[in-house]
Amino acid sequence: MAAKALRRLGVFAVCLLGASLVVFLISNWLPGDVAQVMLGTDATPEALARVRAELGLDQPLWLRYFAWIGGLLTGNLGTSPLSHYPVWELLAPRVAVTLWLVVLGIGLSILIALPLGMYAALRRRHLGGFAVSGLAQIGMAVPVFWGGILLALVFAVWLRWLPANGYVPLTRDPAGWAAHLALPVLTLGLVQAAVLVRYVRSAFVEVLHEDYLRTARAIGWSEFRALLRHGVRNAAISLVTVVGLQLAAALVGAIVVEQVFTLPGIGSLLLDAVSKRDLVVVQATVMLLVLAVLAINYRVDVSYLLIDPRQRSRGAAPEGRA
Amino acid sequence: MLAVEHLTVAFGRRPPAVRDISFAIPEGGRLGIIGASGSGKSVTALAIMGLLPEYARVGGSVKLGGAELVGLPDHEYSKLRGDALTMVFQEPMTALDPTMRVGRQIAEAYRLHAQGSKARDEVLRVLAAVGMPDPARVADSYPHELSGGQRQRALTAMAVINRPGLVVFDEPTTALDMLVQAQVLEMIDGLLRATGASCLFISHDIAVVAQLCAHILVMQDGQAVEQGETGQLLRAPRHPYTQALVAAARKGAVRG
Repeated sequence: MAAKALRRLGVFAVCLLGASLVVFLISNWLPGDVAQVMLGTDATPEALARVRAELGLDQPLWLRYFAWIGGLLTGNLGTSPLSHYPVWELLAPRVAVTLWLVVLGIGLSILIALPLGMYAALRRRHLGGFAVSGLAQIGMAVPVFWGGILLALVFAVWLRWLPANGYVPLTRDPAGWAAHLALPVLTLGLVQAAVLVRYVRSAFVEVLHEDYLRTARAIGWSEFRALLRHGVRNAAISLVTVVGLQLAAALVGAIVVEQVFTLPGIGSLLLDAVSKRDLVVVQATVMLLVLAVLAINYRVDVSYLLIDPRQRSRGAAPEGRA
Repeated sequence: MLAVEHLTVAFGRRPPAVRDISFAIPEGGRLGIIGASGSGKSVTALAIMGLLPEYARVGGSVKLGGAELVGLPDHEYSKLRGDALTMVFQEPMTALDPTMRVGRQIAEAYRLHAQGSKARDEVLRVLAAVGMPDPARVADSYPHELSGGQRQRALTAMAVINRPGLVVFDEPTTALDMLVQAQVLEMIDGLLRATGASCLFISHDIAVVAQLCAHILVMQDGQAVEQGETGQLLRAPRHPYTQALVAAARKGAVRG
């Protein structure tokens, strides 16, 4: 098991290296550069050339790549040529905002989708089951930004219960922090839950047809208790993959939600940096997102090993399936 | 012990899968049901266990120890299942939860119906009773670490841990190879003899049923076409279908 986890770590490192190459090349292919943004459209070619030389933009592409990678490996993300702040100082407070949004949003979506999906699976031939599936279908068709605007309209504009935009750090004002995050988290959570419910339902419908569930019924479990006892763990094997994908999708969804509720997260930083061709910030931010997605996938792979004993002993013991 | 009268099971608008079946199993008695796949023998077993899907319509009467089971609410039925009556299924490969150690699954059957902290002792006792040479090792194994025959023994252990009055076997040896099949049948025979439990044994193989059961019921297209004492039925089958089955089994025996 340790060797397996180690091999997956190797794959992880190779993926990260490949991603860095792609991120670097694509961001450098963008037309226009930061010198142009700094000096304006009426700058002379000489002035542009001088600024580019100062920023090292006149060096060959491969040299710049290795300088950047070398910096990343030693923990130096670079300095934004526009704001003159180290990139890490720009990123850190925003990472916290996005992280809260994504973690709480996914947590909420699981809390909503798990019981609803189980209910829809158990009552799949009844009105209640159909109603849950239908609601999920409608929920899936709602775009994130529209759902966010709708929620803001109801809870912020009409009812005036919650603020519609802005952010307060947790350490400064916990109550204000919660109030400002409530609507964004609700938006992300509901949209993700609508997708998740379908997967939870089909995972449990599949489990309900398994022979071991009938065995559990034959020794005296009720259908619901049998599903709790023997269904959840088995359904989790297929759901872990989906939740991992959802987590990656939520990172993208978070960028949209941050725009709707003007949260100072990674999303707004990234969009701002792209429009100003602040490639140092763009590259660092995208690499961080890539790192997050790869780390999630790695966790997913490792959690298979934790949940499914068959995966643990594959190769180590005979399968016993004749 | 078990009295089934005019049992009829229908799914939706299709013609009934089981039509007007009646039989009785006395205390400690064994009845074998044989028939081709789709003849309704497994549906009969599931009807007795109360494990048919909710859209099945069940008519007639199933009495266990004098108490009517048809129409019993599921939470009442659940108290009987695993305790008064249990079932061993056909597919040992898929009938155990792959994510849980075998010993824990068997202990569950015990804890559902009995209080006390000696579940582990009971599990080891019953694993030994079903002929497992190393009960402790088996109890700590996951299903995929056991062979087909071992898994079928584990399922049987699960079914008999609470000393039920009736055990229903649904083709318990069909998925096993010939040698293991003979060993498992021998184990079941000894186990039933030792506990005095009644048994309903379902198979498509008349030779297997004859080895274990004193009485046989033959099913075709959801109906009982013939039933009687095993020796009598083998010597002088009356229904054409039974005659064909017996003739085929003789041929197989000569060849084998």
